[in-house]
Parts: sequence; C-alpha cells; structure tokens
Amino acid sequence: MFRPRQPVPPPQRATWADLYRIGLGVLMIPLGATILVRTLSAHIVTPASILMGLAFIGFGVYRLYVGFVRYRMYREMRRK
Amino acid sequence: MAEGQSAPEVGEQRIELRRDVTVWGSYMWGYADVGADIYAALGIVIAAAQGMAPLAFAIAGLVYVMVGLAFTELSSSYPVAGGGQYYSLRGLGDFWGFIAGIALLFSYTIDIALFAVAATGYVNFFLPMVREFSVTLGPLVNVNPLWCLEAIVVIVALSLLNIRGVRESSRFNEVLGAFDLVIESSIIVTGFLFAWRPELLAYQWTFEAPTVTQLLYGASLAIISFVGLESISQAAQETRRPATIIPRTSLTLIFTVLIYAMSFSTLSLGVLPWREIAVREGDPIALLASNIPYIGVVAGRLTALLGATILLTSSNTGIMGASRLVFSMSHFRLASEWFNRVQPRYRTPINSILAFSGASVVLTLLSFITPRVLDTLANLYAFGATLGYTLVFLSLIRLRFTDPYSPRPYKVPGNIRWRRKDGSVIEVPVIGFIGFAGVFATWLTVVVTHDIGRIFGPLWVLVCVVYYVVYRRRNRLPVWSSVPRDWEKEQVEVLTSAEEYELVEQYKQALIQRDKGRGVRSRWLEE
Repeated sequence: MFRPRQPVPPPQRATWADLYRIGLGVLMIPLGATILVRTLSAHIVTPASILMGLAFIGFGVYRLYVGFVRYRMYREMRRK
Repeated sequence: MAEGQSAPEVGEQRIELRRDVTVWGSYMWGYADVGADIYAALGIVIAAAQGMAPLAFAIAGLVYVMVGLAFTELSSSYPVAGGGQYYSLRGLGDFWGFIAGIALLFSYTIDIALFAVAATGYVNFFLPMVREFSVTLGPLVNVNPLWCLEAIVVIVALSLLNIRGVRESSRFNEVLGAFDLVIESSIIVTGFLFAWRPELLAYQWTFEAPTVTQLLYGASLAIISFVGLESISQAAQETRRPATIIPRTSLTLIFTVLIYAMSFSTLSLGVLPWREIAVREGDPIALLASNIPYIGVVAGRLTALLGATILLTSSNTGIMGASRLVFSMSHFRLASEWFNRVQPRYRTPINSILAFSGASVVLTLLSFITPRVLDTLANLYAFGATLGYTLVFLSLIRLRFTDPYSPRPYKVPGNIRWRRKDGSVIEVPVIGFIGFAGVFATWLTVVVTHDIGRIFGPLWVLVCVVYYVVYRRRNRLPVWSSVPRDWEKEQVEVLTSAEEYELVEQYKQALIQRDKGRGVRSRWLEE
C-alpha cells in the first residue's frame, strides 16, 4: 500500500543506516511483546498500551522485512 | 540547509540549489525538524488531554499520516523549494497560493518563538531558579521575565547568525538527528522495560479522563508535534534523484515520528501522573528521562542538552524557512521584493530575517504575559499549520484534475479511476478527500477551542489579504485571478534539473498524447 512506485536501486553495501534499521527492528519486537504481556498481566486494559504493543511488533517486523528484501536485492546483484 | 547553500539571491537569475542531499540526509533533515516537535508538544498536550493524551496524539497522528502522504506525492512530483505555498499556487492559483504562503509564514514565525522558548525551557532544566522564578506586575500574575529574556536573546542571536550567513550543514543535521534517535530510542526502551506501569496509565486513562472539549483541544495541539514535514519538500530542490528518494524517506519519517509521539505519551502517563508533567511544560522529556531507573541521572541531563540543541535547530529552521518562503512568494509576485533585499556584505536576505525575527520577538513578549506561554504559542502555531495543510489537500485534489500529466513517482493510495469524456483518466484521491475533511475539522477545532488562535490567526490573514490587494493593484497585477505562467515549461525544467530524465520523457509523452487527442500540434514534438 505504501510502497513507492519508483524502483529502489539495490544497495551497494551494508551501511550504518541499514544496521540501525535492523537493530531497531530486532529491539522493537521484544519491546512490543513486553508491553503487551505487562498490560495484559495487569488485568486493566487500556487501548493505548495494546495499540503501542502491537505497533512496536508491527513496525519491528516491517523493518526486518525491509532489511531482508534489501539483503536479497544485494545478493542478487552480486550474483549477476 | 545543505552544505554550500546560502540564501537565494534576488534581482538576478534564479539560483539553482546544489543537489547534495542523500537518502539518509533527506531523512535526517526532516527528522531534525519534525523530531524536535515532541520535545515542545508533550507537556502542553498532556496538560490539555490529561489521562487520554495518547488518544489526542493518535487523533492528530491519523490526520498527520494523511498530510504526510499528500506531501510525499506533491514533493516527489514537484521537487522545488516552496512547499505548500508552491503546490497551492499551482493547484489553486495566485490568491490561494498567497493564503497558503502566509499561513505557513505565520507558522514559521511562531516556530521561531515557540522553539526558542522551548529550547530555553530545556536549558532551564539545569537552572531551576530561573525555571521557578516569577513576578507579579499589576494585572499580570506569575510572569517569568528571565525565561522570556533567555528566549529573546536566543532569537536575536539566531537572527544575527542568519544575517551573517550561517550555514546549517546537512552533515550537522545528520549527526544531531542520529544522536537524537539513539537517545529517544534508549529512553523509550528503558522506560517501557523498567519504569512504565500499565496500571498507572490505566488509572489515568479511566479516572483522569478529559472532557470532550479538552480532548479535542489536546488533539488540535498535538498536531504541532507533527508539523515540519514540509521541510522535506523544502529540501526537495537539493535532494539527489528526488523522485526516488523522497517517497522512501518521507514514508519512513512519517511512521517513525508517529511511533515516537505515541510512545512518549503512553510512556509518560505510565511513569508519572499527568499533573506532574503538566507543570513542567518547559522540559517534559527531560523530566521523563530523569525518572527512569538506572539511567535517569545521566539521561535526564543528556536529554535536556539534546532537547535544547535540537529545538534551537528547529527555531533556526523557522528563520531560514520564513526567508526562503517569502523569497518564493516574491519570485511569483505574491509579495514585495522588499523582503528580498540582500545585505551587501553577507549576501543574505536581511529584511525578511529582521521582519520575521522581530515579529517572533513581539510574539514571545506577548505570550509571556499570558498564563501559559507554550500553550499560547502552540495555539497560534496550530492555526497556521492547519490552514496551510487544508490548502495543500485542496491542491492535491485539484492538481490530479488539472495536471494529470505530471509523472507522480508516488501517489497517495486509495484512488478511484475516472474516465473523462475526452478519454483521459483521472485518479480521484479518496484519501485526499478524507485528509481534507480531517485537517479542515482540526482547523475548525482550533478556531472553536483556541481562545488566542481564533483571534490572532484570522487577524493575520486579514491584514495580509489587505497587503496583497494593495501590492497587486499597485503593480497592476490581477488580484483575484492569476498571472499567466508556463507551468509545463517550468515542470520540464524542474525535472531536468533534478536529473529525472526518465520522468521528463514520460511527462513530454503525456503532453504529446494530450495534444494529439485535442488535434493540435504539440510544442514538445519539436524537442
């Protein structure tokens, strides 16, 4: 839905920005899970904390997916 | 500003800005501007929306995502500096281009004052005596003249630096933005892991809920935590391959800023009672950071320092943005060339810098005599921004009809294809209409709920319209209609200078097809 129409060129190498994105993605998933577990275990559910937990997990998964796609593009470019 | 860029010169041919900004640079440019907003917005939004502040941020965030998508489409299709004012000029004509311009100028002027006050608020984290100082002068109760003086000194210093031709390098923004991302991420991660109490949030959400009016007021203030997206479109003229880069950076930025704003509001109300944050409007994030176990002592100070720096940068962006915007308005004959008089020695637009910095000093003085200084400035800021964004949405919709030929590297999703009688296909932007309704409703909320914004905002528009009528009549230009312009030629030049040769060809082919359909010889066939 939000994919830019212009084709993105394959990455030439892994940059600090890529590592930052992947690192943040890896951090976001357990953080989201922690927020959800702590919210649900408190037995008083607020929409804000559920939303935050799900948003962190969703954003983390998206970041990792983008990282994976870029890695695949890089590998294919190297193969060619 | 990107390295090597100085104020545009006037009275000569238009200077091309160097295309020096990369993906990361474009992202960080936007982040250094938008990312700073939460430092100023958190306290005032929590004070208004109380236990439901995350909901206020979510409502504003929903509108902001649509505004962001509209800016992404427009700035990648028309990669020129000028932002909302340029899109409105192209889409709606001279008069509405002027209204969008003055709305954004209003925002930039408030931006200078608001972020200078907020920056010094974070400096005062280290100076509690200054923060707590207050005097009563006749009818004026609890006025803090020291904080006011600090803010004015900052504005004057920034103005002098801009007159001397300060260059805020893209590298500086990248380093500052990256550092800020790391600090903010650390606060969020450690805060949620070690300090956040979901039961406190739930208690405040349930028992400290605001009234509907307070919530709407909070949501309309929360919109200021997302203002600044136009900085990406301002940077478009200096971005390498803008059609490729802008959609990527802009979309990432939209979601990063949204998730940070939501995180900070949810985290704050799970760490501290809302009243404690509300009384510390000047440095809410530093207060939050200092309440996190293990890292609080260091994180509080570091956040205050970083907050002051990044807010100072934002204040400076206001000065640069105002002078650049008024230059664009003058170029299109919407404002007098007086604003673009260049200081002979430093070659900087001294009149516009002095005019808008001077106005922001007056605003700062006036806001300090109101009971809550930041709330007053945010009140005004929201008026200008929402008015400008309303016109941007109208332009997005209208340009889809009047200029379907310009290649759009990114399109706002959710379009309905409509085949016209002449065979051409228009993609009607449904989200454009929803976004327009959303931002217009926010603007109406500002008018209804903001006591100061509803007086000074329309007054500013009225004074500027009178100026516009006088200026256009004096220069024998149409007042309510537009000066004829060759937008097609301009678009080809813009895309060529952006090195988007593929898009230039696409555009020319679309124009040739259009002319063929009309049975006329296309001017683009000869080239």
